[in-house]
Amino acid sequence: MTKKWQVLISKSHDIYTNLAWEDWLYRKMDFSHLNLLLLWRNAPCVVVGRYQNPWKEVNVSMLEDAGVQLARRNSGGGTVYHDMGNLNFTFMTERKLYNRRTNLEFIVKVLREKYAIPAEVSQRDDIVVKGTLKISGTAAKLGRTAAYHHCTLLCNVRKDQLRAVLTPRNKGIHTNASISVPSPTVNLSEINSVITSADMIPVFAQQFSDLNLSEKIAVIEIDPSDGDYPGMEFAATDLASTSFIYGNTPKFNIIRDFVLPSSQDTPAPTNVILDILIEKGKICSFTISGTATEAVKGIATSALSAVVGCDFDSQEMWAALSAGFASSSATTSGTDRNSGDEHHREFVYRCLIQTLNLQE
Amino acid sequence: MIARKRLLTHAWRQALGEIQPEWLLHSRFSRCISGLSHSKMRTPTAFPVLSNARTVEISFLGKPHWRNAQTAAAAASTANDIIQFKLSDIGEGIAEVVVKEWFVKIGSKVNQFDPICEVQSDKASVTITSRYDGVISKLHYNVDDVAKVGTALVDIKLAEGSPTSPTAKLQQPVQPDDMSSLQDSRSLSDKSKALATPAVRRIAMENNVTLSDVKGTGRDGRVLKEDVVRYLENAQQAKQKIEERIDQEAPSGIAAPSVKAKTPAPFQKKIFQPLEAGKVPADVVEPLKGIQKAMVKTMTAALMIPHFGYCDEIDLTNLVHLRKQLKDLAKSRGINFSYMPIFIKAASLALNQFPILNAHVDDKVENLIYKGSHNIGIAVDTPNGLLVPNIKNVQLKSCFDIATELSALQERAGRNQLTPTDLKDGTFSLSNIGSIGGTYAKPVILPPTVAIGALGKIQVLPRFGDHDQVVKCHLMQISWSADHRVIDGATMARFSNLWKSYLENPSMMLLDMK
Repeated sequence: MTKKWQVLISKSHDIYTNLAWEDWLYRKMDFSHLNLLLLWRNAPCVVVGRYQNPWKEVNVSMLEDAGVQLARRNSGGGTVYHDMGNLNFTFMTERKLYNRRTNLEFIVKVLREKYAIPAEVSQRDDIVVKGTLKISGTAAKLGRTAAYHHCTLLCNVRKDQLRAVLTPRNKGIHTNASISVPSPTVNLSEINSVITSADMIPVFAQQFSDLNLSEKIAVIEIDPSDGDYPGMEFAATDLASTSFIYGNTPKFNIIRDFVLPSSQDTPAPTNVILDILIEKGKICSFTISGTATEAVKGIATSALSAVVGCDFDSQEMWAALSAGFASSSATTSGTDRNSGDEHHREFVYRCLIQTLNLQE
Repeated sequence: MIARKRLLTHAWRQALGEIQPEWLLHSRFSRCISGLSHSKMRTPTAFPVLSNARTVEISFLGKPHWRNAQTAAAAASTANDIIQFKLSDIGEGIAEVVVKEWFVKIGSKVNQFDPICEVQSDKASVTITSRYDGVISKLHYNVDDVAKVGTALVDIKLAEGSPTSPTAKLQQPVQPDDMSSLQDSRSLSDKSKALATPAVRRIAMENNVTLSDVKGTGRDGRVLKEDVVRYLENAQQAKQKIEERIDQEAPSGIAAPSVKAKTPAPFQKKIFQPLEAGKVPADVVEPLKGIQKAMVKTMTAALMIPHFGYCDEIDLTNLVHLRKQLKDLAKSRGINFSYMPIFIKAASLALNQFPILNAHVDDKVENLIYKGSHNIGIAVDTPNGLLVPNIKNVQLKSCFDIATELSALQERAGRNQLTPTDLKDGTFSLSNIGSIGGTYAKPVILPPTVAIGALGKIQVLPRFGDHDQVVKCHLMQISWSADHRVIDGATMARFSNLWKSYLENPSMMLLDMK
């Protein structure tokens, strides 16, 4: 039986729905007789690789206000920003036919021939123009019988938002998670002003169709939530859950070293080292060391104990921290309270906030 | 060691059905069954040890029935086999990867194809699946370690009866890459782990259903057996619906009829339906789809071509005599000999002299592409509608070859199993509308070809002979249409005359046959 080739265009712009749809096809379809090209776009979101640390890669705290969603995909690779000016390609085939370069050469060919963009495939399987300006990032997932390679294409994204979102605030994070390699980017529309992501969809669909010489192939617009994919809705909800997005962060430490100003008790400056272990997105344990006094370390210990078990960077954690701060000030009795202790307490809490906020 | 190796091969070959299990024939058979509790091998060559007694059912007739072919293959594996499962080549010249996640731990039971771990190489996340059935006894790497391709990844204590030979994989049918519930549970949060009894879990696993995909209707959202059954029905329907939709959307050009797994209904002749007295049938709206829809597109394109027609009458009397001689010979070779192969071969011979009729015109009518092969298309009436599959390279084939291929094409067409290759790259077409009826016709050219001929039915008619006597002639009408933008009348007429002369004097074909 000859292979069927199809181009499926998603009508959904929800990152979680599209990721769940992509994953459903990968897990459920029999690719021994099928080659798929998926074309999809998303509302503003930032997508981290399967085993990446979102706090390391992304400015997580600004996402909500900016209206940018955060998602974790199942493939490897680095962090990317999507909005409607970005076009995603997924090439899905049987495992034997997995070939990233061929797919990227196809995209480059279309860009060169149809849009006069002098693009080329780099050593790292990115697509670049002028040698260094990146217009596409690539990632892949391989299984026993099927595999997919997906990549982005920056047609006309909001570069200001891209830059803001991908400038992380991650001071103190120590991790073995795969990190993204930042590169300067450019929109295709800056090189050829007619380009929009929407217009490129039919062009790529047609060109892909022409690649298959033996027959004309189907180009179909699909609404992934139309019930044809049983089980997909659960998967989409799961992909959107904090436990998937944050819970799958490989374990990491936040390590900070703060210098305490000299005081009456300690004429020489002392320091306190905070080492917080976060596993599966939850604060697991911590150690406090350094030359600071026991009193100071005690304050830090009791404050951090309050947040152990909380999801890192969650409302719960911040609430627990401020509750801890309030209760510790209440417990110190009147006689012990002197400006020095108070000063220390405030200082410790400021350090903790800085630490947990990953700020400089 | 050698004896054991021989036994391995022997047992493995048995599992593949190449040889009958020897113990079947041996008198030691009864001893074999009673000795099953001792799973160690005794004699190397006599019979494979059945280390997994469960898999052999002795039927009422006393013949054992192999439940699991794999069991025999690894009957040589003893209960204590530990095998090192190596990280195999991932491709792309990658020499090392980082282990990102384990899906098993020491003591986990794994089956062949269960996911073991996820590794990552630059940008690619790869799921490594087990080659064996067994229990994990050692993990050679920790998360975030760099693993070299070719080194051991895990140690697996083989289950009794686990296939040790990697080729045992061949026995497994190729399945869609639906990772077992093992993998899916890892990607779920603890809160959404599906509740289900072990029995329901087993049913789900056997049918490759991910429990988390199933809506549970039991208490606390528990997944019941009925839920799994319903899910399977829906999933089957969903897949079929997706495949059907994809088939229907196949766009312009000759659409290949969809090849469905179900056996297609045989072509039924339309039976004359009498109308009920006094009943006016309602109008029925039927949207055009599939081949009909494709025909609309093709024909619209075709009629942009200025056709000119040329018709003639061919005296096939000599050919009829020839066919009488060849008919029995062909039948002895297993095919029915008709005139079509001769018409087709004659057309090819004539095309050698008039290659312009075997050309393609490009979209913008700027170029004429003289095609090297004579891929002669024959219009066939399939249950789905009109299709024109072609026989490739007629110039290189004998009449018998053409007859064989034609017969195969017609058979495939009748079963809706024509392939896209059959339908592509035709260079010249013939339509045997005469087999249904009719004399002269006005066939429509199939772009991008430039000519087509329609053969009328062969009639026995009176004509005048050389000495004005009335002769019984077998006559057939031929109607040619050609693209007048590139073919002129004279060319078509000369081609037709040459073709006609080959058919009227078949021995002439001998002169020009290659």
